[in-house]
Amino acid sequence: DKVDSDSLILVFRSLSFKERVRLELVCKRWCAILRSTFANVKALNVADFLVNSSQNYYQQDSLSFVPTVIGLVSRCGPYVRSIGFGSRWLKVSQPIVDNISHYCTRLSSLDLGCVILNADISEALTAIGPNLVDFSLEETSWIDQEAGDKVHRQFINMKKLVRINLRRAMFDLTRLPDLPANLEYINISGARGLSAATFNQFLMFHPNLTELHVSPFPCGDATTLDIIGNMPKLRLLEIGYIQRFEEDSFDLHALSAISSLQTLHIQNCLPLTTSCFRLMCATLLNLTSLTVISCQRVLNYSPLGECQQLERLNVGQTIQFCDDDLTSIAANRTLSSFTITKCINVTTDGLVHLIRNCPINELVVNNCEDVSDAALVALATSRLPVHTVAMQGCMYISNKGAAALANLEWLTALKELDLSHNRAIDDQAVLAIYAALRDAVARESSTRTADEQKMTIYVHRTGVSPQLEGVVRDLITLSY
Amino acid sequence: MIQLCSNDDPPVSFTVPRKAVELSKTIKTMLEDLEGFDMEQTPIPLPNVDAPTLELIVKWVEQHQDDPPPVEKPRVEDDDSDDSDADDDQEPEVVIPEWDKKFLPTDDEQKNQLFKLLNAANYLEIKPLLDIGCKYVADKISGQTVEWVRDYLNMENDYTPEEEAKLKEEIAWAEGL
Repeated sequence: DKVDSDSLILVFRSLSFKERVRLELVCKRWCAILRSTFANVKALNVADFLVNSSQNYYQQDSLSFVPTVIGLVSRCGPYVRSIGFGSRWLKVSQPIVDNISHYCTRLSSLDLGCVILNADISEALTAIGPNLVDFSLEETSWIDQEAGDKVHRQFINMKKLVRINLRRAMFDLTRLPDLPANLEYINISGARGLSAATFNQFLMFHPNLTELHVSPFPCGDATTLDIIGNMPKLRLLEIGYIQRFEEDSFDLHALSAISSLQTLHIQNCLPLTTSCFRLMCATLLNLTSLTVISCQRVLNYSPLGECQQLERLNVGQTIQFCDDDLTSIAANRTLSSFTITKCINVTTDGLVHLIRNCPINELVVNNCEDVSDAALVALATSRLPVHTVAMQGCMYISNKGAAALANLEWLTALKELDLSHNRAIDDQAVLAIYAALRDAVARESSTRTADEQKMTIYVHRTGVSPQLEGVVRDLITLSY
Repeated sequence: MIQLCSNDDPPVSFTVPRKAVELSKTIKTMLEDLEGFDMEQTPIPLPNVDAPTLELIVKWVEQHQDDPPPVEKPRVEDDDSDDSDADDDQEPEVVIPEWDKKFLPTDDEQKNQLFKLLNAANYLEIKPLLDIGCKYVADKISGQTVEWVRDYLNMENDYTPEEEAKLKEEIAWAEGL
């Protein structure tokens, strides 16, 4: 008795890709049925199909995965919409590129990020470029630089492109303005190969950009920031590593005109002065998420109180941010995510005030010397459904504070707790949370779903013993 | 009550509550088409199902007659114009319930009965039964050698030695995974 084809298809569909390939050897009928089942493969990560026997990086020349790629794309190529190489510096050769371009006729997303290309992709891009919606060449390097320098000539054919990642691109980008006007996302952080004039022209030709990543700032002149300031649809801007002082030639005041901006990330920007910061806080009325890290010339953070929609705030590496600023932020009662790193003038009092006044669900306080257990006690008694708490390297945090989290009203909502780099933390803290979590889970057993995410506690460089992992494993993942 | 008849000579008939029998889409559609006839008095012949298999089917539908109906997700036709990824038809993971685990004829001597059951479930369009049966077979053959799978599923190798060698070489990349 034989199983009929309909049932076989169902059987095969729950087998893995490689298992299906192997079973092609059973007989000709099976081979035909098996090959019809690859239609449900829509996304392919080539790295998932490579055997790493040497435990080394994959880029070694000895590893040829041409047969693997041909085997994969000859089966599911026509159905695949998205293909990538797992960003692990695989060396991608010409036959691999050619086979992808030959078989993957409906590809809309191509991720060549973090690979070493030993290939000229121009011809492939002529074929598949016009259909690409999403394209990544993040940090991509070429064995033959000349091949890399040819890529930008294909930009003009990519009519459907919406997202492109050119972070740290090291090839010629003179034709960047050729990218289609419908482009919404670009990451061009740290890219070389373009002049200020080219970049300015690109920005002017792309008014539909909603997301712009320029950290490190690739290049620019006096007008670049003015153009960015006038972008009508920009929702997210990540800008950073601008070390020039002359305010006249590099004026960040222009950014305060982007009224559509919701997320702003500024890092290591010397031109960001206190007055400039004040203007941004007062005029960017739609801002819900703000990150300001290592901006030494911001001497006063009190303008943050002006950001009345602010839900997420991340401040780092400044001695100017202090408790008074937290008081003015807390007055808006909107903040749900708060992250600070090395802000030594933020103390327990400021945090407690924030916790008592805002709907905090994520609290990250790293390397802040003046924060003590009382902050965690305040959080634990706040009745807030907190999902993330991190207190890395805060010297006054001890078992007492960490164990207090066991009293959280919504303990099962807490998914991440980072206690790394705190010498005073040991098993006692974890066990207290474990015991309370066990009770909470038992209480909620009727409403809990099977795929509920486990709590993870990070205990790198703490006194937590390795044996504890086995004790709490059923409810908590310990990461050492 | 509805009467179902096996394909044996003479046919063996089973009397099943209508609610249970309607778990089979094939029979449900037939009953709807014959609305107005007195189906209580008319045995339904099932030309593709023998008595031992029909007995299993009846046992299963009676056990599951009160199950909530499975959520039917409309199947999106895969046409070239559609570029959205919304039609991501990844099969959801099938879990075999405890009762069904005991119910499925899983001894190796009974494997042909299992295959007949799958074919009958397919013919009668009893999707949940077909799903768990196929899941069982998939788990069973996963990780086994090609020879073992061939033997288990009563398949014959119809490749010539040359064809087989060529295919083996072509798929060598999948072996070590």
